[in-house]
Amino acid sequence: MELDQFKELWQQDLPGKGHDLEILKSLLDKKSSSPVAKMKRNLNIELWVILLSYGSMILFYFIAFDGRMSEISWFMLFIGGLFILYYLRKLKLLREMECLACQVKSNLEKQIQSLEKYIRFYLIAGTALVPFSVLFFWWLFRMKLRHIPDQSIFYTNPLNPWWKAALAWVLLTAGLTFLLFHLNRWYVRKLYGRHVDKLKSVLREMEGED
Amino acid sequence: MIHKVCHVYCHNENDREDLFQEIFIQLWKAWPSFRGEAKFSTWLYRIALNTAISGLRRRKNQFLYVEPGRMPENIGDDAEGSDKEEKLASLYNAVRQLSDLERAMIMLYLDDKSYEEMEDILGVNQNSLRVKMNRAKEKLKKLTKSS
Repeated sequence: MELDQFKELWQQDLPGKGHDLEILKSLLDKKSSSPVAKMKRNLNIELWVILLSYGSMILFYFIAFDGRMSEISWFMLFIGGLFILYYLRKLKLLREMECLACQVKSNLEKQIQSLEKYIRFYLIAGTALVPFSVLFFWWLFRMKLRHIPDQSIFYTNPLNPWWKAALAWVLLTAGLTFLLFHLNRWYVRKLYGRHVDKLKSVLREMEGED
Repeated sequence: MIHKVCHVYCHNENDREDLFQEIFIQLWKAWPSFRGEAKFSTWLYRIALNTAISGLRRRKNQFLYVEPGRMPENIGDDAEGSDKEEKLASLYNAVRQLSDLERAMIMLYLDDKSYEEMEDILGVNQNSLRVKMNRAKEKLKKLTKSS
């Protein structure tokens, strides 16, 4: 059968495919399952988890130990502030990610571009947290816990010159940063890798030279 | 039209229902921004195809071949039109074996859209579309013959 002969057959409605108004209305009550909608929902969950967990820890360290560990609260407030910027940036990228009423090709380009930015941002932000935290704990240990671990490699003492202690902190930071970077990379690849590959392959086909 | 997109891009009934729901939600959300700059059918196709191609991640690209004698339940089963339905089922089977872009082009072709409209929906220039369309038709011809 030639393709043209299929046209008439194709243009007939699929049998049994009417939808009554109530069913259509009920569809609108359900949540969208698009990747962007899911990512927005996950981002909001992340925001609430951070607000609740950070909020309670900030309060705890302000109140407990007669406020002697309030530096931890201030540090967490600082990280929390950075998280709000991180949240707003991700939300902006998600809002830019799709334009369903645009041409299919331009929507694909937009989605790939924003998704790659989103993944890069996630990776950088997630990894940068490690040196920040280590730097803070180095400062905290020096200021607050000077008297405890005299034998520790992380402290300068007669047996451990300053350069050894510094090297220990640098190695710890580098090791943790490296580990977290690869863990994050594996995780974002698992989350979005197949989707990005699929979008790129459709776009490549659209752009293909003939 | 939405049902046809769902049939072309999904391999089973559950996925079709999910995609139908998703397209319907997206149409509902996008409706206030429709200003009539493009034809309504162009706007509808853009949203449906964008949702189908870049929307759902869960669907897998496995081929599900349906024997021409065994109709998918949703294509109907009255004896009178069984020959037509058989042909339609084998057409859907064949179209589902094409790439995402080819499926979209063939759908638009079968819906009698001009190359100008196809360009407006897909964003691929007409010359390129003509070449790709010839290739897709050839592929489809082989696939429908073999089924």
